Amino acid sequence: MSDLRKLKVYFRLHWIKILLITLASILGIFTVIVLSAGVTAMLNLESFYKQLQFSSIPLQFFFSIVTAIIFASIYTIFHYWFFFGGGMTKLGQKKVKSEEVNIRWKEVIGMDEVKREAWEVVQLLKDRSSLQRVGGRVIKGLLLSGPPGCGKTYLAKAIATEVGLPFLSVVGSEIEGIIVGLGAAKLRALFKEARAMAELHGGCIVFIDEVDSIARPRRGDMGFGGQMSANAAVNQLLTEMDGLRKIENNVVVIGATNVDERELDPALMRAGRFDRKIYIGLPSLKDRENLFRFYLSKIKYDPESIDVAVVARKAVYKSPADISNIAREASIIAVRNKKEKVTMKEINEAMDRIDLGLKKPIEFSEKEKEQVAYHEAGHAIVAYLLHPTDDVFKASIIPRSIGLGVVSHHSRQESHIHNREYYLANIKVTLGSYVAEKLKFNTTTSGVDEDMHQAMWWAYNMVWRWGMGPSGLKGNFKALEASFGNPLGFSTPNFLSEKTKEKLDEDVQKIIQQCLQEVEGLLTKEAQLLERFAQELKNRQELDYDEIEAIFKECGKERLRQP
Amino acid sequence: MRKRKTAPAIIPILIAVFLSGCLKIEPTYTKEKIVDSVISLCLTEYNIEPKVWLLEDTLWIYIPVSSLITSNLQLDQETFIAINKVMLGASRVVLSMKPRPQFIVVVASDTQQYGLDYMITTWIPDIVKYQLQLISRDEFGRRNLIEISEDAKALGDEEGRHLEKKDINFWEFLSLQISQRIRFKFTLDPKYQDYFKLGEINSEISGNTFRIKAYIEKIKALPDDKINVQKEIAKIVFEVIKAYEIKDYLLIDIENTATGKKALFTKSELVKLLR
Repeated sequence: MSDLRKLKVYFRLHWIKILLITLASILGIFTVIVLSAGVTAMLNLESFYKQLQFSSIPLQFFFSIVTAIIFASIYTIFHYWFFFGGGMTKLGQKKVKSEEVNIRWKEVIGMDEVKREAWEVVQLLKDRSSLQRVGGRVIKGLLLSGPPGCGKTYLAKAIATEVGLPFLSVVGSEIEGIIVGLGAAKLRALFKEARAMAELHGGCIVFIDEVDSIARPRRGDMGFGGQMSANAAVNQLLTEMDGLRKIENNVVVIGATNVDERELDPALMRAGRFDRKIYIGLPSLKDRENLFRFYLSKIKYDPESIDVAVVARKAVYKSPADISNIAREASIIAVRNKKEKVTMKEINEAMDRIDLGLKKPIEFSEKEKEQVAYHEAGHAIVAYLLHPTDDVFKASIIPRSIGLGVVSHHSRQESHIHNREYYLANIKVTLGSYVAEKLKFNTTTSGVDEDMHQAMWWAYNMVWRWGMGPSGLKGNFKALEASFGNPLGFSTPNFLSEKTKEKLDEDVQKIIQQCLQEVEGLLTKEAQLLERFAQELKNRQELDYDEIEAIFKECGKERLRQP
Repeated sequence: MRKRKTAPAIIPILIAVFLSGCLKIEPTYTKEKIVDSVISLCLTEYNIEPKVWLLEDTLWIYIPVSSLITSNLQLDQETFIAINKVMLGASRVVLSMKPRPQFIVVVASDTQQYGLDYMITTWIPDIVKYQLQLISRDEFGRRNLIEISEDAKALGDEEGRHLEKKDINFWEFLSLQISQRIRFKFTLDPKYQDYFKLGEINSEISGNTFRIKAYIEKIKALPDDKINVQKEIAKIVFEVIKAYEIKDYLLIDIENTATGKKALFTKSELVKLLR
């Protein structure tokens, strides 16, 4: 290789360095020239002006130092306050003493299994020395996951009260800020304070609500900087939790999240970080009964009117927060109705308000009222006669925020897995409205929009995801597309043949058509029942569980029971 | 380790910086060579060669010029620039010298047309104050004595032989400045200039008494007839007393020779009057 080529290659590899050195050299030479010229000029001054310059130097220097100290102090104080001391880093952070949290263990209703697991944590925190004696390590993190409103925060507060330690509470979403690195800075400040509290009080609980906001898996940044900030926050949390383990200063982090723990950063999930994971799900029937008893005991209610067992059955899939809300709403309705006590009527109204939304002041014409009545009657009859698990709890043609009318049907017990018949029944129930309108008026309305959407959704999932299509195609075709898709959604690679897609779409339509046919057969057969139910609904506007049961009994019909 | 190394290095620098004001700086010019220094500086930097004499405490500078006054009775611009340059050169020399003389007198003479002398007398401490921005440019202008006089002997005098050079006395300078300020007040101030006719103004400081005899005749009724000439003169005297921080004066004796009115102000009366 010739020297010139070598030089060229060297220049190509190091051009930035060369450029910087050249610029620095020019700047250096220029500075030396300017400085020497300045010094020479100063030395050549006449004595009066020289004296003037020299005598002013100490004063200028003194004022420069004073100014620098003032500005440096202001900057440092502001910077410290902004990032670490109590400015941005303190936003959303609440420091609470354990006695101020004041939620007793016995006040945590239901979730016995969860409480048992959490109690173990409480015992470990209370008696840290015995654990250390046998060489065990103190639990550093506890992750509470589950649907919203199921008592994660409540349980965390109860743990803090029971252990008697200071409780620092932050919301994950408030930790992240508009400034890159602010999230990490806030976490540093939070744990610094927690360690100080632990030193003073023998321990501290840091509760991070919505921990998923700062614990999502770390990813590469797409060039906008946002992911870098999020990654920094996760790294900081990891560092702080590791740091705690090394120092052993009895700071325990309790994180709460609604998302699946698989959606959080795996590093946070391993032992030594969030050591324990507790899932807090929706309450069981027994738990709901206990919860209703607890919340009703806080208000004045009529025990003869309210059967807690019935209410608990009606409140299937309700979270503890929902149950608390029902009790509170019922008491408000009772006050508005000038009643001394809450009765079953107020409980029902409160549940309707929470489930179905507030009533809307819409005036129906007679024809519209009739259309809506037949529409809802179609849903109700199909649900009552064909649904294998659900009871019909309410039928209404009073307009509310969720629609012009509603039929509320659900199972008495929560079930976590459903079979083909269940989904087919769901489709049939949603199509009941369409068929009823068609049979009665020989036409259909746009009121079936949401019903059709629901029916399609169930049918689509049955075919594309759960292998329930009539053609015999099996597989989760939806997952196939989603897992290979571009995360940014710019394009989705086509892994399915057009023929397969066509077949799957045909299956979806086949299910809809089959269900439609079945529903049409049923409602044609039960034309009298449809007429009767629709008229009752039109006249009374709202039918409750007992009234619905009475109508079907009168017509000699029994609901379908699952074998 | 690092701290230990930097501290001994920084402390001497800080001490040096703070003591820089106490440095003994040798004066650039000496009194013995003042004449040569002024001539050389004016020649090198401004291309003007003045005639210079140093008496006891007064530096006399002579600039012969071909034209001092223009046809419309204004000071010739070029001459004015030349006077300023010489004044600046002389100031630079006297400022960077120890011990300094007390006064600079610059005389520019029209040696070719009318035989006029334009004389500026400056107290050197006033130049120092002006350089240190302790007094404004206007105030500095008011403190300089400017005198224009006709002297036939100036014609053809390129060496300054017609000048009656003498050492200026501070009190004499102050008396002349008071007279000049009174004159300027009644002739240049738009509030008074059309209403008074001025004659001879003499001021004298003897002991602790300022004596001012001025001929100030009112020729027109003033819009504000409450103006008291004696009081106005007293104010001017007080301004000078304050400017030069004269503390041991007792009386100001003012006489308007045009009206024959006299006024005598004691120190306390003057303070009360001007409060």
